[in-house]
Amino acid sequence: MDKRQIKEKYAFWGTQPVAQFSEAGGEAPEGPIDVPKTVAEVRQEPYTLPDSFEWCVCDLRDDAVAHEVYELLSNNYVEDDDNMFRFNYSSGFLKWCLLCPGHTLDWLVGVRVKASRRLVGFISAIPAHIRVGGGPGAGAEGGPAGGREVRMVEINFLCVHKKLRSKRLAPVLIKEITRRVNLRDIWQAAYTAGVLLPKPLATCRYFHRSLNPRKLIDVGFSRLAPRMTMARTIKLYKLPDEPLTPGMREARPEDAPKLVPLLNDYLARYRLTQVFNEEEVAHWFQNIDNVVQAFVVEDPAAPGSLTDLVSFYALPSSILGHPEHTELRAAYLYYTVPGATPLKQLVNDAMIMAASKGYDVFNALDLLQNELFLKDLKFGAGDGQLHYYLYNWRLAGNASLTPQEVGLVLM
Amino acid sequence: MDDVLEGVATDEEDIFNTAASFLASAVTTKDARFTDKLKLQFYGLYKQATAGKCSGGRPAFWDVAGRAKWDAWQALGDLSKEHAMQRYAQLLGEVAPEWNQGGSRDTQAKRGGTMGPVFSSLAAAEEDEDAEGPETLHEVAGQGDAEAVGRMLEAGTPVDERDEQGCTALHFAADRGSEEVARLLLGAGADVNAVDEDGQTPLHYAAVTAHREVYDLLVAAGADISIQDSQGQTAAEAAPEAWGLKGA
Repeated sequence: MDKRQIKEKYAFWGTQPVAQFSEAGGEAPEGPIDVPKTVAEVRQEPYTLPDSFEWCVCDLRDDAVAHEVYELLSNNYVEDDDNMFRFNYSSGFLKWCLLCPGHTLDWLVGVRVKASRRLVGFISAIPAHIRVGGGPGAGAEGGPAGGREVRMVEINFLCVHKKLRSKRLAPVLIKEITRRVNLRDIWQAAYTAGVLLPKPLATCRYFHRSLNPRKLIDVGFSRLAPRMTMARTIKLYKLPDEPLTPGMREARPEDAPKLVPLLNDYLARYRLTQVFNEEEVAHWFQNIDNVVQAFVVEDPAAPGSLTDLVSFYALPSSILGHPEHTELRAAYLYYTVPGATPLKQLVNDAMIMAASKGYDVFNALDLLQNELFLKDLKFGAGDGQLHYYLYNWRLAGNASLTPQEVGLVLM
Repeated sequence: MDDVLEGVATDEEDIFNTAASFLASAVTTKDARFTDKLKLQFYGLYKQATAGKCSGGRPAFWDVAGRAKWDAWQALGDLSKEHAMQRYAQLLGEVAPEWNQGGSRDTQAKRGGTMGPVFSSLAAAEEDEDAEGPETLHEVAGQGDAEAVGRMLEAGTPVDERDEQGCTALHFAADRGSEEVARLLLGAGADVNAVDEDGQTPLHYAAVTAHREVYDLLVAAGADISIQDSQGQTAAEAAPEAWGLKGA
């Protein structure tokens, strides 16, 4: 891209307090990019939408509203390059994800058509304590990385109706959610994107492990090499019926006090990660069918002692225009903490659970320590890259991180 | 058209309106590219896009211009408003490609905004892994390409040639459910009970991959249903429950 193209493409992001491609690293100090402001300085009135649109709050506690958001996303959210699949987050998932501890209804921002009341735009923010920065090289070594804990939000589910993409609603949605977050005295955000924006803090890759290879091949998610047989492929990916780790069981709310130190101590080694409190652990690591599964290992020799954690969440996709199959059921590896059990075995057990629950594919990014098992557990590299971004925060010298230094998983 | 979006112009309508204004000014300035014949086409599409299907009677014979317009509109039949808008903009693009310059939407916007996760799949990534070299009998058998199989057999390729896993072309035909190729290979003397390195016959492959027609074809061709693979499993035991072969 030449300079003019870059400028056109990033006409919006160039105006935002985010790390820019053009910036020299040099002396930039770690911390906020914008001059610090106070809540009193924040614009009081909402940003102006084009005529015939209006803002609304999407109170997901109301099933009818949750269904509207579900409908908007399932028809208009992220698709693959060939328009064969489109994410189909369930409304149960949206509730779990967006009605988390500390959630603010004001941050579930919708745009409606005035005349019909039809929901045509959405963006969300949820609060999180993010720890960022710290010493390089800490990574997988296990020592604490240090860094600073910053109260941020995670921005997600930015979606505009397919037939209204030329209205430029997305930048207004981003500005409006920023305003509403700023009004609560929060000035930083973490978000991810498949597309390249100014400027990634880290770039990870998706890896996929077939659980139901025949269906994945049928629907075009993966393909059968001309010199490979389906029979061998099925055999290759076959998993045992039951998990192999003794003492593995579903996590329960009362496990939370023990899981907090287990999880936070493990994540301490990463340079971009989340710090969880008890209430958050109980929320994020629970078991809801077709939403999230979390398993702990309770030492059979020492009942009550929890040594490991493994979890995944459910993100199905609609299969577009296939005569037989309508839904691709994908499990996404969430946080895993190996303690007494080898990481590879924990993830293998999670895959066994996912396969027994009828998932078609198990996905993982190459962050955390995931590189250690991807090959052995028969994951293949996907064509999707996921970039991690911070809003209004940069590392010293505008540095970026390797995937192995990232310990943050967003939905 | 998506009527719940009523009260707001969709992208298609925006583009169509821009196209219609461009055309109006081109016609006013007597742009020579817009012949009478073209103008009639645009007229028909415009009416279809804004008013829908042509209704009302054909104008009287002395109203030549009126009749020509009516004919252009009526010829579009049941074309939807949405499609009429698209065709209008497309036709204008062919005649005067400059009409929408500067107004093109980037693919990023079309694909669903800028933030959020990414859909990743294995399909594209695996394409690089294809083996090199000329196509083998196994490959063309797997593709169900009976003509190519016939050609290779005629050229002297041994029908029971093995690949690295000990599979024959018949294993591949069974694996992909290609009945025609399986028939051809059997006719050329393929060993119906050939076993791969795991002791599996083409019958096992047809069972595991749930290709019933090929399974039945192999049995009819004399496949030995008692053969156990290295795990001690017969083809019937590897078959889908729904086939009702187990314990038979």
